[in-house]
Parts: sequence; structure tokens; C-alpha cells
Amino acid sequence: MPRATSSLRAYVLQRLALTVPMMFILLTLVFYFLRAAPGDPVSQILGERNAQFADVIRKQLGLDRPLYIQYFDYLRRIFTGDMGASLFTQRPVAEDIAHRLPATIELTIASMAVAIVVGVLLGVVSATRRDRPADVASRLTAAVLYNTPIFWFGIIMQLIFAVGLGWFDVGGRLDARLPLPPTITGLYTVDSLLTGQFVTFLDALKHLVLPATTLGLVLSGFFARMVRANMLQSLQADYVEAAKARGVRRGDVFYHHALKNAMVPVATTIGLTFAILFSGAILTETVFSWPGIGLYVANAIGARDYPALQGAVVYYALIMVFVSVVIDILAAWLDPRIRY
Amino acid sequence: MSLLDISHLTVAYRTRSGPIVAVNDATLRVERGTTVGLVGESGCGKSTLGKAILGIIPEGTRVEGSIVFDGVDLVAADEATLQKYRGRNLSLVFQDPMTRLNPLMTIRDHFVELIRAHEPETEKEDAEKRAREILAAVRIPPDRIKQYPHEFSGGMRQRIMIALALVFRPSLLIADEPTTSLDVIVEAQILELLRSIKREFDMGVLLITHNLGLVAEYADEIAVMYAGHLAERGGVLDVFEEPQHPYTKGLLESVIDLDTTELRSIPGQPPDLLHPPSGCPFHPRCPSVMPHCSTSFPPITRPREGREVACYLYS
Amino acid sequence: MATTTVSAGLLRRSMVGRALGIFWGQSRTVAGVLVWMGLVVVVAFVVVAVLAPWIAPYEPNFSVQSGATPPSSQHVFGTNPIGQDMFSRVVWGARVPLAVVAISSILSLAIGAPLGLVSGYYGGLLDRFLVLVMDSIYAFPGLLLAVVVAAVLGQGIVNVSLVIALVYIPTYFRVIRNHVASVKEELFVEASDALALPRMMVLTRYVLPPVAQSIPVIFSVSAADAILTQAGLSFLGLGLPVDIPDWGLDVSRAVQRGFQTNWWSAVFPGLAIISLTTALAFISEGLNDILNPLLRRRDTR
Repeated sequence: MPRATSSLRAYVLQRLALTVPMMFILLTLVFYFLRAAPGDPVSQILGERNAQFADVIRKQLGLDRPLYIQYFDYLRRIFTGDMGASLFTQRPVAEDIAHRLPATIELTIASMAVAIVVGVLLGVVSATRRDRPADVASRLTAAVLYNTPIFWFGIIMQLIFAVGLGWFDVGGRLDARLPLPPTITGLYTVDSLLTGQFVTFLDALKHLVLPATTLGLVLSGFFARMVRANMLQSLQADYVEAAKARGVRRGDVFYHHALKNAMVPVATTIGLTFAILFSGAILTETVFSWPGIGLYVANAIGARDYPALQGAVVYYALIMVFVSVVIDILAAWLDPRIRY
Repeated sequence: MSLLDISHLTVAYRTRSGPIVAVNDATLRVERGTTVGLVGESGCGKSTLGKAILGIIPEGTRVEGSIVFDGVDLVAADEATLQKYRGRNLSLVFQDPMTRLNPLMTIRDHFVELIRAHEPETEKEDAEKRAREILAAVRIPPDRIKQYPHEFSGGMRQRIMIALALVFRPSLLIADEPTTSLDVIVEAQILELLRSIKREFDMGVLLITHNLGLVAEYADEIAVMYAGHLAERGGVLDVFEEPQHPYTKGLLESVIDLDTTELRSIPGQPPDLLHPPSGCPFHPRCPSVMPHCSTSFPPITRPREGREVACYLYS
Repeated sequence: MATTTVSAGLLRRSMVGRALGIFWGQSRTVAGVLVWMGLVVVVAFVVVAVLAPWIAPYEPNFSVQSGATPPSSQHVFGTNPIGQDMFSRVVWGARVPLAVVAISSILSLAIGAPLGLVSGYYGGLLDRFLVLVMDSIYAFPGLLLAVVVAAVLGQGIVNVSLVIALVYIPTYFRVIRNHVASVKEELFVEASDALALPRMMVLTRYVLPPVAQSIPVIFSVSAADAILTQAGLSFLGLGLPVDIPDWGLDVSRAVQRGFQTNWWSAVFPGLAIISLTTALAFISEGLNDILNPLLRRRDTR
């Protein structure tokens, strides 16, 4: 189908063009909040006492120049990948972040998987048993899950499954005594499995389960809500009734007609769920000492490490834009109507 | 034995505000090779009657009476039996083709799914071959089988729906306002198509519509429904020549008279089915109302062979 | 003119009447029960927060024990490592999220609603620009945005409220803008436009009333989120000065002191957060069900 392919390509290009203004807005907002907002990061960093030292730092960071020059300098540096050096680690922020990115990606993917599986299950149970006890029960479960403070939930999980039962580890990515798997993807579970290091794989998994479940379960509440709402609509759709009238098997009606159509709007909002996921990851990584970007942000806050914070935020902005494009393309692939 | 023999069928929906009796003690027959036009205003229960035959009504709905199809009572049948009949022996074509096809499935997938639902051992390729043949029969280019519903016009989608309904050569086709959302030229094409298929397959057709013109043109028999009750039944010519029930008379008069170009309509509103009038539901609008019309529903009388009417004027 | 005034009056009365009718009529359905349960819990928290000085048995910042003690009849929630009574801290701690939610919601509404109204009603380039900006903020991780701004603004109830307000402006903006844009298409607005009624009058008389309906829904949705964001900020050390009892901060301090040995000083503040956020979520679930006609069950077809 050459026609479909080319129009999908056009759609993707159109989407990519839209991301340019979106990226500028995000980057500008970050700049504005960090430098032009009332209050001054440098005095926040140093407190009122070190006025002299503050001037030196300001000069070092280029904060004494006019705002618009700072702004263009800021943009230039972002596009050349130069985010300055962390005040705390003394290394380039870009390097720090690149080093920590795989940990965050591993946690994010695992959490998303947990969230989608649990969320779709809860949502489907709810929608197919509308207003019956099973519906009420899974709705309440979803509401409680989604509204649980994630850091607290993480602590409870640690208390029960790591401290109490000893099944999993309290924190970190891997036992310090084990050798690191060779870097292929940067994801310990994947790399160890690819190279056949099963001991390392099991240990990496033991570390990953609790943080991924914590983050995933909280997010599953969000999915459950959306799946339920969309399933309720698609179960009442005309094409579902028509399929029943043709004697299509119950399973097919449910899966191919009701569920798939309900998942299209859910897929388009996955971009937004990434925002929730990243927010949650900051807290989850802090609780589980998971050495990703979230923990980096938390440490940067504690150390008042302002270049590190800015660098992390810029990275998140870039990731969010990237994710939203990927999600839109995914939705177009799912729904033939968007392609044209 | 008739192909379809509905007797004393009552269908009552359960709603928060109370039961709604959408079909009330209805008796109707459809023979092989004939088209029965079921007419009435919207909300009179004619669509419910069609869905009740296939058993696709909401759970918890009360159904009484019998629907005997090919010797089997569908009201008493279990879900598995009904599912075997649906789409195979009994097909339903709906009013709004724009929303009746799954937007995420190609036309081919619709056919493959249907054929394998009833004949699970069929290979995908064979199913597609059959689909292409039947698409050609309804004049859809078979090469477009891999396209999605949104790539077709309303008339084409309705022809695809009809093709889906005809895959297994059903002995009864229920067409529920099959052309209401289509323009007049497409309407004529669709109905001609249905007529030729009916002849070819010796099929019984239940044509549900509010359009008396369509019934006059395409049906052999007519059944008039009002507020869940069947008011009058008979051959199309017979009823059009000499309507007996005051409601039928009113309906026929509200069709524009070309000689006088005067549009008359039945005064009053169709009843609220939550709180239907007592006795004959038509009595508040009836020009020939009598005192006992509001106390009990009139018995069905047969003034002559093949003619039934439920009105005190004739008993 | 006379007829439009009459119909406007009728419209307003029927709108309020209908909303109340729907609400009372639903009080026995799942949605209605959810709303009532949520309301009871939220009101209970407000009462506790207001009456904290009389309810709390101890001064929340005083060390009444020498260190962490498990829950007992004297200290039902135990004491934390500094020896402070956790029950008193949880009681006083209710003031923070309620104050932050109140201030930040008013701010978000005060900024998001007018922008949404203007954007939705006038449309055009301004609308497209505002939507792009708001969507960009909306798509950004809320907690991260809050962290960045909080790091610059510093601690304090008002500053935290400002931060939270900023995060939820797009939520108010989006819902109101979309609602206005759809109401605008409706006949009665078009008709009044055709009658050349002044735009402000059209806006306040015909557009605002139906749009105002959605404000409680947005509030209950964003309030739970706002409380979670505030707690997250506190947990990361970006919340309030240490002398203000705060649930998020208490959990964070319990963790730093090794919560395995004083789990109660982490568990109870967390339970308080969950109870409040879940109650708000029940309200929003219920309201959404009641007010969203798309999902109302189709009785017959």
C-alpha cells in the first residue's frame, strides 16, 4: 500500500514540524523560570551571607549579562549539547545525564509495562461489569492506587517485601559484589540476559521489581480509569451491536471490536502518562536509591546544584517532545483514520 | 409452516424510571420469498421487534411469547444456539452504515471474522475468496477489500453491510431502515439489490421502515405498528386500497396527495411509552374514538382472508 | 429582546435546577455514594485542621518523649525519633495541604479560567498560541516543573502554593477553553450573536453558566493531584520550613532516620495523605459520572 505509507510519512513530518515550536516554548519556559523568576538561584544556593562569593559565581555562570544574551547563549549551548558542569560532581552535566539515562529508561519501561497490564485488566473488569460489585471494587482500587503518594507507597513496599519478607532488595540496581554486565543497551536486565549472565540477571531483576511495581501500580490507576471510560463507550458502539448481530464470537467482539477501539484514545494519551511517570520516577528513584536521572534531580535539589537541575530539566523537555511524537505515530499506526 | 412465526411477543425494557413495553402482544408472520413491510413512527417498537428476533437486546429485558423460526423457538433458545443462527440463517441490516463497521478493521477482516465465526475450519484465503465473490455481487470492486470502512461512501458501506448479511445465504433478512440515511438514488439501488437477492435466494425479508412509499414499492405485505401494538396487517395493495384502522388511514393521508398538494397529518403526539394511554394506545388521537377504547385493548378481527385489524370499529 | 431575557432566566433556573435534580436523584447510585463519601471525609479533614489546637493532645513541635516510641495508649500514632507525638503532628499537618490547595486552586482558577474563556471564545491566533503554551506546560512532568520553580522561589506556604498553582493553570485553562469553544457552537449562543447582543453579555449570560458547571469537577480532579505534588515537594525537601508540621516532610524525615525502626512515623502521615486524596478522587469520579452525559447509560435505543 504505497499510498498509506506515503501519507503516514507526511503525517510524521507534519508532527515533527509541530514539535519545533513546542520545544522552543518548553526551553523558554525553563529559562524563564530558572533565571527571570522573582528570586535568584545564586542567593538560593549560597544563602544571604556570601554576597561577595555570589558575585563570583554569577560571573562564572554568566548571570551578570543582559537577559536576552543569556537566553541566546542558553539556546546555543543546548543545541551544541553543552549544559555546563555540575557544581556537585564537577563533571559535565550532559555526561552525568547520559550516564544515568539507561537506569531511568529501564525503570520507565518496566513501570509502563506493569501499569498497562494492571490498568487494562482493572479497566476491562470495570467496564464489562458496569455498576456491579466487581466494577465498584476495581474503580476504588484504581482511585486509591492513583492517589497514593508514591514515595510513601515505595516505603511500604520496602517494609513488606524487602525488610519483612526479604524477597527483594531495598535499593540500588545491582549487588555491589556482582560484576556489571557489558554495556549493550545499558539496561542491566537486558544486557545480562543477552550475554547469558543469569546470576546477574536475577539480581538485577530482584532490584528492579519493587521500584517498577511501585511506580507501575500508581500509574495503573490512571490507565484503569481511561480504559474503563473508553470501553464503556465502545461496548455501546453501533459496530459492536452489528458484530453481535452477525454472530461473531463473543471473544472476537470483545477483543477486536470493543477493546481495540477503546485502546486508540488510551494510546493517544500515553504521552501524558509519561509526564506522570517521570514525576513519579523522581520520587521512586529517591526512595529506592535507583541511580537514574530522577535521583540526580533529587540530589541536585539537596546540593543546590543549579546547572545540574537545569540540564536535567532540558533533557526531560527533549524527552517529552520525543515521546509525544512517538506516541502520535503509534496512534496513527493503530487507527487507520488518522493516517489520511 | 411459516418461515418466521411471531406470536404474542412482548418485549419490556427495564429502565431506572420503570419498564418500557416496546413491543406489546405482537403477532406477525413472514413467509419465504415475501417481503413484509413493518411500518410505524419512530419509537413505536419496530426496531426492538427486529432486534428481539436475533436476541440482541439488553440483558434484563423481559421477553414473552414466541418467535418460531424454522421450527425453533428463538425466545426459549440459549445464547449459543442464537449465535449460530445470527448472521447465518438470520441476518440484520441496520439503519446507519456509517457507524456499523469497525473503523479499525479492513473490509476483508470483517468477512474473515464472520466466516470463521460460523465455519471455524475455513482458511483465511478461502474466506477472502468468498468475500470477493459476494462483494462483486453487491457491486463493490473486490480489489478494495483491503481498505478500511472510512474509505467508502455511505451507500457503499450499506452494500458492504448487505454483503456481510448475505454471506451464508440466510433464509430471513431483517432490514431496519436500511436506506434512511442515504440519498434517494442510492436508496433505489440498495432496494433493487435487496429485491433481486430476495428472488435469487428465495429469502423472507422483514423491511422495517417509516416510509410508506418504500413499502408500496417493495413489500408484498404490510404490518402497521403503533406504540408497541400491531394495529393492522394485510396485503400491501389491499391495505393501501382500503385501510381499516384509523391510524393506518391517518398514515396514508399524511402522505402528500399529489392532486391537492395538501399535507395532512395525524393530530396529537405519539405516546410516551413509559406512561402509555390505557386501552387502545391510539385512542387519544383517534377521530373515531368510542367510550370503551380507553378501557381495554380491542381484540384482533379478521374481516377477510389475510387481513387483520385491532380496532373496536370492526368487532 | 423580551423573549431573550425570559429564555435566559428560564435557562439559568433550569440549569441550576437540573444540576441539583441530577445530584439528588443520583444520591443512591454508585456515583452519588462516591460523592457523598468523599465529601464527608474532606469535611472531616477541614474540621480537624481548623480545630487542631483542641484536638491535638500535644504541641506538635515539642519533644514529649526522648526518642521514637511505637504506638501506645498515650501516643496512638507513636512518637518520631525526635520524640514528637505523631498523632498531634498528623492533626496539625492537615492544615498544610488544605491551605495550599485552597490558595493554589484560587490562583489557578483566577489565571486559567479567564485565559480559557478568552481563548475559547475569541479563537484565532491568540487561541492557538495560548493552547500551544498551555499544552507544553501540561505535557511536562508536573513535579519536575514544581521542583524547578520551588528551587528558585524558596520555602513557605505562599511560595509552595504559587508553584502548585502554576502546575495546574493548564488544567483549568484546557477544560474551560474546550468547554467554551463547544458551547459557542451551540444554537442559543449563535442566535444571540445574530441578535447582535453585546459580546460581554453573551459571554456572562449564555457562555459562563454552563461552563461554570465544570469548575467543581476540575477542582476535585486537580486538588488531589495538587496535594500529592505538595507532599512530593516536601518529601524532596522543597516544601515548608521545618517548624510547620507537614505530612510529606514527616515521611521524608522518618526515612532518613531509618524507617525500619520507626515505621509508624512514616505510615500514619502517609495514610492521612491517601485518605484525603482518595476522598477528593471519589468526589471527582462521582461528579464526572453524574455530569458527563456521554457516559450516562443509554436506557433504550
